[in-house]
Amino acid sequence: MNTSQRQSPVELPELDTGLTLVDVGSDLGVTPVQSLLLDRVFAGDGDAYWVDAAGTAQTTRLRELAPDKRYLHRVHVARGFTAYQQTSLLDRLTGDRVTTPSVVVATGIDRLYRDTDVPATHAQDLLVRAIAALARVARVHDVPVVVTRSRADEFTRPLVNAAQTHLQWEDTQFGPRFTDAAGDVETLVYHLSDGWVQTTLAYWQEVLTHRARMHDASVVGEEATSGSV
Amino acid sequence: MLTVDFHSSGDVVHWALTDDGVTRTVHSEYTPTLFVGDAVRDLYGRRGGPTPTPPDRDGLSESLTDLQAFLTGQDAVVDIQCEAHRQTFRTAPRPLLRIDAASVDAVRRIAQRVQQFNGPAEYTCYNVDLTPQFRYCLETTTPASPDRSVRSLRTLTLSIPPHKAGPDALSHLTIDGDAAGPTPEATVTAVDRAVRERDPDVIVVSTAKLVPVLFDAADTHDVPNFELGRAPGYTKLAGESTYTSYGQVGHSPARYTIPGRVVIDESNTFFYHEAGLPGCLDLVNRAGLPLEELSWASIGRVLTAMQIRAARDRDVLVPWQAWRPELFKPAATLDAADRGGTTFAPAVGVHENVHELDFASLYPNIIRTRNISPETVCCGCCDTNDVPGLGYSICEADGYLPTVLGPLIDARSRIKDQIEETTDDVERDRLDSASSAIKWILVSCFGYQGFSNAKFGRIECHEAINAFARDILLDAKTALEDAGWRVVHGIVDSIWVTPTKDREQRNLETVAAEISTDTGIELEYECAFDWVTFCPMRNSESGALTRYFGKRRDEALPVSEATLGDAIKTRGIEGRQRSTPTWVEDVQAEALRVFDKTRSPEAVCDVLRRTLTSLRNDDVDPERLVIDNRVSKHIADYTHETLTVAALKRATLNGTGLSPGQTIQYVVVNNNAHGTERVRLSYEDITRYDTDWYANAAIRAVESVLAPIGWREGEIRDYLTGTTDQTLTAYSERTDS
Ligand SMILES: [Zn+2]
Repeated sequence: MNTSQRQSPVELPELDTGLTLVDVGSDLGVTPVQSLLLDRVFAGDGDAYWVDAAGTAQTTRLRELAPDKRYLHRVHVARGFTAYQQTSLLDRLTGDRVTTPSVVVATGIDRLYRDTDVPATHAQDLLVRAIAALARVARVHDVPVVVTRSRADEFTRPLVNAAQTHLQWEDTQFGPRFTDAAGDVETLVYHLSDGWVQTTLAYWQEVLTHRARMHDASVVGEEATSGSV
Repeated sequence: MLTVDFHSSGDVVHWALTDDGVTRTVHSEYTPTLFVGDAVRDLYGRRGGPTPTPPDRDGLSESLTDLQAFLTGQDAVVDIQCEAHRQTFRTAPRPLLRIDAASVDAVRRIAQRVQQFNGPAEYTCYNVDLTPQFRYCLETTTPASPDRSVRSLRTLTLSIPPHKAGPDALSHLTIDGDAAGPTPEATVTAVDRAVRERDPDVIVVSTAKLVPVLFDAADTHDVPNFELGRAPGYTKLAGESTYTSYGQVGHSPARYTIPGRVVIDESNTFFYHEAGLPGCLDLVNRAGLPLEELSWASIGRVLTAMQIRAARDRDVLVPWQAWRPELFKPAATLDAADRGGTTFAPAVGVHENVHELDFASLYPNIIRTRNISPETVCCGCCDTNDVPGLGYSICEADGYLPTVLGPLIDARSRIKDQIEETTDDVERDRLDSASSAIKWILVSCFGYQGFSNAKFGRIECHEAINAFARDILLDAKTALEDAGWRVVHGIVDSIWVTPTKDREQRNLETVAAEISTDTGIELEYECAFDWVTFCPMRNSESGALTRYFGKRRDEALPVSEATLGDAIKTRGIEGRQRSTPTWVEDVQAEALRVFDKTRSPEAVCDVLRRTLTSLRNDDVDPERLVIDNRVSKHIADYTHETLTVAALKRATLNGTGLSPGQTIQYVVVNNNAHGTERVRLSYEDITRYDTDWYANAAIRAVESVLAPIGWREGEIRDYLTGTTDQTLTAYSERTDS
């Protein structure tokens, strides 16, 4: 509807190899991160792997965001419900069954270690171990690893220290913006002058459709036959 | 055995029935056992896939050898050696550390030390958190049931009304329903005498707190040698506690036990409430969980006990934590799996000539007939596409879960047949109890598979069961449509059909039998309805899945007013909910009667109008306005100032605070007042009620009946404010007779 009036290109931050911590201070929760994940899938060299410990891996939102449902075959999800399960899943990311990912996402990395069934003396150790596992994933596969946390506090300080990049995501009057914590890089996703409401699903669908086109990847309406993307 | 006492010395006292009493046997050599294996990552880490492939080794690993050296000689440890067992259903026996503990309490202490030795997650512990009596039965192969061929159990019930508390409470205690004594001292003496004379095997208490209260009172009033047990004293097994698990706050009340007798706490028991003592004993026998532990166990705990026994038969140990993660799967698969059970959205409104068909115990039967088990789904050894829509394989080898549920399914249908046949009321009660205890296990086994913290749960199992259920329901729909029937609603395991217009119908029972054969699960013809009405959701036009009512064809409405008997089946509307006051229930029942007779919203509203008039004239007995709510959490955990919260606060103010699981009963006296003034508790003197609040409740109850034909609250109120009673003359004779 508004695409013809669009002034600026639709941008998402370029992800570098290594750990990128993304803090999303908004009700949107996991949507910006899912968008980063899909963006890597469009660019297209391999599949995305997503370990969720935040209880956010409902596929409904991902399905709604994806410009083509076939992308859902290229996002591999596993949910950790206990600290031990999460630890195992992070280990598996460097196992035989995970080959050439294009991006790895770990949401709510700290959450399960805060649970009461993990001995307090172990919580910090386990978190550090989890961060180390993710750093290894980045190294072994030479890919970007996007991490989110459930709370920004002293407990998750090691994550801030370990991350190469720390992006803060925020709503601004001009649109959603990713800001590098170092303060030097800023990505304004999409200028809002033409009336989009950035918290809506429609907004993000629009963003991702543009991104998919930029990468010459498939979007709904362009593909006529089914099959793998 | 009847019960087992555990002494801190490590001695275990085993009590068993004899024809005139009990025998007491002391085992001083009993040592509970736990096992320790290598790190979680060996099983489920980098190499982990559908089948864990831990690295080969002959003896103990280096880190287990270190641990052995560390634990050797510690007080809690009696013996420690290397022994091979299976850590999962899909791995072969491996050499592990076997640790014999000095006492049941020592088991957890040892496990905690293991956890703290070396880095986190370096070891996996097994057979740690078994309840003591269950563990004793398992490890000594003692039958968990009391031997009732010797004699039946003797019971004594001690109760205090829930709203009585404080030092005076004991004056209100009853022994098997009879008042014990006018003073606390007299009560203690009477309890002491009753226990000595009756020599009960089971003491049922309205709250476990009675145990310490009685002992304290005996102390205060110098009642000599007061005992509840068959040996001196009592033991506090667990303190009252609050815990957080997966974001949910839970409470468990304190638990007490006494020597040589089973204590059942009525405020902390699911199965005793649901199935009574006969049902509990039947389940003790099936689950192998001793009576006292079964009495406070959740459904999940009983199911776990059965799974633990099945695992033990296969030499599989019980993991301490839920380590096994789900497999990576494409978001597309997860999306398909997340769809849940299939439902055909019902068409809101009245449907004539409807038949209901139900799949018998659908989920347990899917598990059984499709061989679904944590170790068979996505097994890793079979490369087949077995689960519809998800493509998961199911192993050719027999799973253990079907062997746990199979006997329960068979027992339940056998008991159902016996209920049909028996003419003896006592026997029928016993069978009903047994059947209802089993029913709860069967209806919960599906959901429990999805609990990721369940010991033997597995998400892929849960997803597979769901996928089969969806497939079966869709197949049934197609078969019914082919036979000339239109499906008006379907949910989980039930289908409602009506003849398709201008088509011939094949006999429904024949079609159902064919579907049963095809799916391997019996589709039972439930009943015929003259009409069925599907209700819309409260704030929408679309059909609510579980709100409906209908008139059974072969049942006549009872002559007496305000009861529906079996003639009208209702689901999800006010009359079904236990909290609904009797008066509101009666208003709804009357509305349903008039609806059945007239199908006229005006006639139904006229009934409502007359009822509201008597409400406004203060003609309603406040007893019929009592709201009955089960307390689900502590006051502090309620986030909204609901009426129930007001009532709970009022109870606390009166010194009769209630615990979760207990029931609070109150009448709304002024909804607009502040805090505790909004309500009166049912035991208080109630002289007034909040007319508007109850009028609204009645209007909502009638709205449930009329919404399917387009009359919402607005229409009802408009009609009520109209001055003429259009149908009173027309229907009054019939409805008032
Ligand atoms: Zn197999």
